[in-house]
Amino acid sequence: MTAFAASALAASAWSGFFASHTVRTALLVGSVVAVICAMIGCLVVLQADAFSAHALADLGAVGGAGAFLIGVNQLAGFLIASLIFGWVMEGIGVRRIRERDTVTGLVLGTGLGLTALFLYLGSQLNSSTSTMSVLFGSLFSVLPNAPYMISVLGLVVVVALILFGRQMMLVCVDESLAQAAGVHVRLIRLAFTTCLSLAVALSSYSIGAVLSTALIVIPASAAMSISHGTGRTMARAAALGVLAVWVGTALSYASYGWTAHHANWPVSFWIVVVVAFEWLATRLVTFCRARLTRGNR
Amino acid sequence: MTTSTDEQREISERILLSAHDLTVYRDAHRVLDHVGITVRRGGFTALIGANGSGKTTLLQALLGAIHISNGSVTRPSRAKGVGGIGYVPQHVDFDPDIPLTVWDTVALGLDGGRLGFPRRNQRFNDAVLRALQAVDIDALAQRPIGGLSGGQQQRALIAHALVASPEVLLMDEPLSSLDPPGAQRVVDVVDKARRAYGTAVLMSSHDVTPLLPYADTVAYLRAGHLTEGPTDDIITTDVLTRLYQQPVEVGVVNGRRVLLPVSEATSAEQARRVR
Repeated sequence: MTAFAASALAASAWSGFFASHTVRTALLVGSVVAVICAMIGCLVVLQADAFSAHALADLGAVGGAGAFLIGVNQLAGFLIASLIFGWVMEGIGVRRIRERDTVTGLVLGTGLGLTALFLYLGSQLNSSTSTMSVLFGSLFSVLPNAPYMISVLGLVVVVALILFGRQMMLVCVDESLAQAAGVHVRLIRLAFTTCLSLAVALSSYSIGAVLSTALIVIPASAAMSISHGTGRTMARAAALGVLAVWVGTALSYASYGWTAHHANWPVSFWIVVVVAFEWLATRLVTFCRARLTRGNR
Repeated sequence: MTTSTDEQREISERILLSAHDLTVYRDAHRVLDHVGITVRRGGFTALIGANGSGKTTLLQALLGAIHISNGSVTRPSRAKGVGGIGYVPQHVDFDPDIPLTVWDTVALGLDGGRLGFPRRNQRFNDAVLRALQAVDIDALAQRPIGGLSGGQQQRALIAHALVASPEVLLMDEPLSSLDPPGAQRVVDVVDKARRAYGTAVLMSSHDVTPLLPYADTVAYLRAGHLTEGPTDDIITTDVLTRLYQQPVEVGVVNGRRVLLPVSEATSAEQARRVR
């Protein structure tokens, strides 16, 4: 945080913004995360199953908080927990069980409860400000190796989604149609869950477990209401996500000077605010389009 | 699993899809009990049975989409890729906001199973257009699939199954959301495909009347058992009354067979008229 504070103090104009190494790292990591969250988000929204993404975020947070508690790399904590819980959920076929509402409550409760417990215990042992980074991400304070790891994993997810995106989509629409087309349904489901787990883990690490679902679901939802065709929708969702990251980072950077305490507001908060505005804007566009077509008749 | 004599038999009888001794359980309930069925090249089989008799389960077992407890299913050699089996499910829940147009939905029938970026050339687009025209929804091609009526969506699913010119067409009550002329149009289209490409058709239906002009075989499911036979043998008052456990008359109107379930009201009315 001191590197950021120093660069923010030193620069009075926006030239300082791009000159700051911390900011450039944040923009890189944030953009990679935004792109993969948006792409997988399109598939998540398609199957109306934001539950899986949210549950994974809560369970992944347990991993991040646990890592914080025992003092290891938080990124690893998020990744391991998300992947394991994702595969377990896929293995027990959680989407098909009957008492889904009960299970949702159970998962959210246990996940948040354990996360809160680990954070509390951890704050007793470590510096208390780090608890914020599990909940709200550490986009401005990523560890030295993180950008490299995140970019590599991000590339893996993007390639997987490009290769298998259509098969995944067919599986989301209807499994029997996919079966008829010769798609290996179990494998594709597993690939989808893995990509989702990775996206959730990386976004939880960067913008926090509390808000990672927002980056997955909202840009995709916004793009879906204004475009057709998977390629175009994914591209627009990615663009909206990246835009939110850049504007959010800039606002967070600027907010440093707003209060006398010289504390910048959490960047993930700003990203989610921008994402919410984007969603409202697309709703407005859809509304206006509907009014116009009605008027033309 | 097939021996050479079985293979010879299959080639000579042009059997494309068959099930032997199939037993399937659903929630600890035995839905299919040692069921066997054969689908031949160019054949048209109507699958009938009361509600809950296992028609959907049988079609899904033939497709390979559900677990089979016993028995085996032999599929066309191209089944693992496009062109093998075309499937029309009973119902697909399309989210109203789904970013798929009708055109996209049908195109997925051709390349939904492929990897990577879509490589769609003129021949591809022509095939999709032909499929859309065959079921009369080419005017709706650019509309989002989620915004269509149930009947229109069903026609899109039929086009999705037809577009790859499959060897076998499995259809699960494809006529249920369609009005009588619409239903007849769909059956006509399916039969046209059958005559042009030798596609084998297995279609389940609640109302078998639109299928009767074309179906050469009727298979009916009752209590987990399947009976197959030529249409003339199965579509009789005796057999159908036994199948549905209710009086069903088979009449002929303008040379076409029709099914008339007899209810208490209609039989009372008939008795009154005779008097």
